[in-house]
Amino acid sequence: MPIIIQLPQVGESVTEGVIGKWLVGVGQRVEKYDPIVEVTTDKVSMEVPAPYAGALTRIIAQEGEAVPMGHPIAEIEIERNAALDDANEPEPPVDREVERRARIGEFLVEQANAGLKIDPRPSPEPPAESEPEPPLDREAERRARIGEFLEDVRAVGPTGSGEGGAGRPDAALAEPQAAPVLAQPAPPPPAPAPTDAEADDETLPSEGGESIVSPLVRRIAQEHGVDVSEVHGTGRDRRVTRDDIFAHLEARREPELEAEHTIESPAEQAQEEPAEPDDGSLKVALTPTRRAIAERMERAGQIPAAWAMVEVDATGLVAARSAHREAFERERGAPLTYLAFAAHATAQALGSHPALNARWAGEHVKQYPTVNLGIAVAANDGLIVPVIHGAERLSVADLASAIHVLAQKARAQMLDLGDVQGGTFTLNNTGSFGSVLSGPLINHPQAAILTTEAIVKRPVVVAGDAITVRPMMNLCAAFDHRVCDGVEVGALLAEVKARIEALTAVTPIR
Amino acid sequence: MPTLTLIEAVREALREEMERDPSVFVMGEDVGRRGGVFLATQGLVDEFGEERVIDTPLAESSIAGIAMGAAMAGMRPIAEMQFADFIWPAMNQIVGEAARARYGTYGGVHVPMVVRSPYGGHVRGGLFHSQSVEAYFAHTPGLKVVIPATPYDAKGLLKAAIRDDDPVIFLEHKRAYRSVRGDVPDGDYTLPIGAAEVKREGADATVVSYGLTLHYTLQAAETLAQEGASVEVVDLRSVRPLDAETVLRSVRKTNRALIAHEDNRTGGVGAEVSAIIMEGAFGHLDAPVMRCAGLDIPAMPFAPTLESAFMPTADKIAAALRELLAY
Repeated sequence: MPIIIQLPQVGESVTEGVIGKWLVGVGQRVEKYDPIVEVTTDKVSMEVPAPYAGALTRIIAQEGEAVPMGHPIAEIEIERNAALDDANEPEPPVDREVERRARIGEFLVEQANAGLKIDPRPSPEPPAESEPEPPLDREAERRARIGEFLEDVRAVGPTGSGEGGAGRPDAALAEPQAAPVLAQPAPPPPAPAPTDAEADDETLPSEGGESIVSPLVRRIAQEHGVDVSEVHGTGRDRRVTRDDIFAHLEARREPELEAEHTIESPAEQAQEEPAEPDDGSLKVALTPTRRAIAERMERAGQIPAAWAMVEVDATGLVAARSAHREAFERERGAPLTYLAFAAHATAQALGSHPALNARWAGEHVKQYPTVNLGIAVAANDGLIVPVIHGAERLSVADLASAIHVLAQKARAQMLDLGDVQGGTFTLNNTGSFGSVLSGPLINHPQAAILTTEAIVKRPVVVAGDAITVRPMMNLCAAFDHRVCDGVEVGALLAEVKARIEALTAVTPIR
Repeated sequence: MPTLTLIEAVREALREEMERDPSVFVMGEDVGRRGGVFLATQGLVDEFGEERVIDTPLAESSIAGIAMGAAMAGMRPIAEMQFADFIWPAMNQIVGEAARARYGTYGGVHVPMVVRSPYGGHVRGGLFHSQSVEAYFAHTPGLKVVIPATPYDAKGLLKAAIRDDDPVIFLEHKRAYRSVRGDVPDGDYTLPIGAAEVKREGADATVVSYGLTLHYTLQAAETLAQEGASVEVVDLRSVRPLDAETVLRSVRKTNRALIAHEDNRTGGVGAEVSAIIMEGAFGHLDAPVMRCAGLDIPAMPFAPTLESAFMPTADKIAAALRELLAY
């Protein structure tokens, strides 16, 4: 029974050896462990021992040849008693023995033996499995934790009477600390992959109702006004991937749009700017928000926008706010702002001017059935536009509350995805920083944006050519001229103006 | 251009720097007559003499301490720790003192020393000859931690480390010593410390790696290429300073990231790279950042099967990539 002899592994880091002198010739008999060949590496020189007693039948690697560790160097015909011994082994002994030989190097044998002699003590920290803790102690520990945990949330109710029952909080608390690393419970097995039949079933809901939208896909969807739920997903749980949304955009894109809103390829996004000479200027790193704003504004700049402004007599607005302010703020704990009145007037006006509650969609104009009013908020790290969905159904009071909540969330960086998605029109209170006139950029892909400027007292000509002092406010609008013309914007502005000027101290705000 | 193994590139860098600058010297256990246990310093004692190639007692704290003192006095010592596993007695000298000297003296005292050490496993080294130690040092401001994966990088980076005015930990994977060969130009060149390099271009996912694992990563990328995926491979080359820009540029392009290293997963370099990606490329991520790392067990096992189970092999990296790409 001929067996291949391999070049054994010698020492760490050595990957090949050069065959030196063969000490045994073909046909010659050797005892087990007799040296058969000299091998040199750039680290050691050694003699390779015979792994079996037997007769050498073939030399594979010749003198001077460089051979990788583990490669065959010779063949040996082993003797019958060895073969008989081997026959009793449950698996072919050949491979095991040769493999073992091949892997035991001079250095490593030494290490292993030294280790055994020097430090025969058991490991000071045996794995937890070998000594399971008495169940009672663990239970006591668990209880100790429950007690501590429940003390903090006493208002919810004592153990067992709360909604979650007795079993839940302790499990959640104890688990992370219950066992050392080695004894950590195995993670739950991964959810089984859906079978083909399941995957083909379009009505099958994904895990948790909806699949995850990655930050990248969310950003691309927002920039291009794509409803992610309309995109065919090929990722895990039918998640929409980068390539899916690019494919979707590609499919819907038409030549005109292509010229203006070329989708940046990833490679283009990654291009470096040329190095600038050091002129002492400060290089301010972009925060993610700043970067997002920059990208959005670039898109806004590509819209063929036109611009209009109307003056509004804010006398009634000031009166209405003064009349309701105290009671409202006491009741709701939120400020009653002029912006809320303006938002109400705008949302109502958009209901009768749907041409501006829309977006350019390449082949058509998409008009939205509800007014999802974006409110520009100056958050700590930049402008953000949370959205009030269905704003046309809300009262002034409800809008004031909603704006307050969203502004607080924005400043605390607590906005949910739903809070910033789906806007159809944007309102920006530029008056808050004293502006009386602005040229806003449209919040792509919406059709228009409206600003409310600062209320300032000015001499105005009123009925009968009299001159009087009135609190005045400018409304400025920018709109996508592809979507509509100045006449529609004029009509919208006229209605917002009329609604604000119609306010009085007795106008209800609910 | 000659083809060298990684250890030959190390040796060449040492020799050339010692020729170039008489203040450069080598010290460590068995580095002289024996030429180092891996033979990294082989022949240097014959060429430069025992005053510049110094065999030291088996005391790592004193090796680091003497090197630090010599560096403060104007020399450029290269201290070899025989195995990275043995570096712990020198921890106070390196982390507690050398890393802080310049800061603590308001720039008055620099410590231009290099601590070279073979690290890593998959060489049947068992518990005490297989450790990866980079995370401990990468955590320490004041140190630079360089881990070359190729002979070309090893020579250029080791020369840069020797000429650096501050302490550099230079880690060489012992399995890479003789298993990695590559072209190395004759003569003098340096590479900047802190600059990662894209070792393979790709569009669908980025793998950030370094050291020996980089080669497993490149194998995995090749496997994935045959399956139709295009994988970019970033070699960090130094884990401190860490080249965030190159990592972010790649992830912004591919939108998916995997970090592969042999060191333990928890608190490893991968955790830091992952955080950098979250902070700098969150809006570009199309999948969670994933890691393929050594197991969180106390040491590299000795048994070959268990050793392979520990290592982030090409197969495991490929499997992690498939998971990342399927997300």
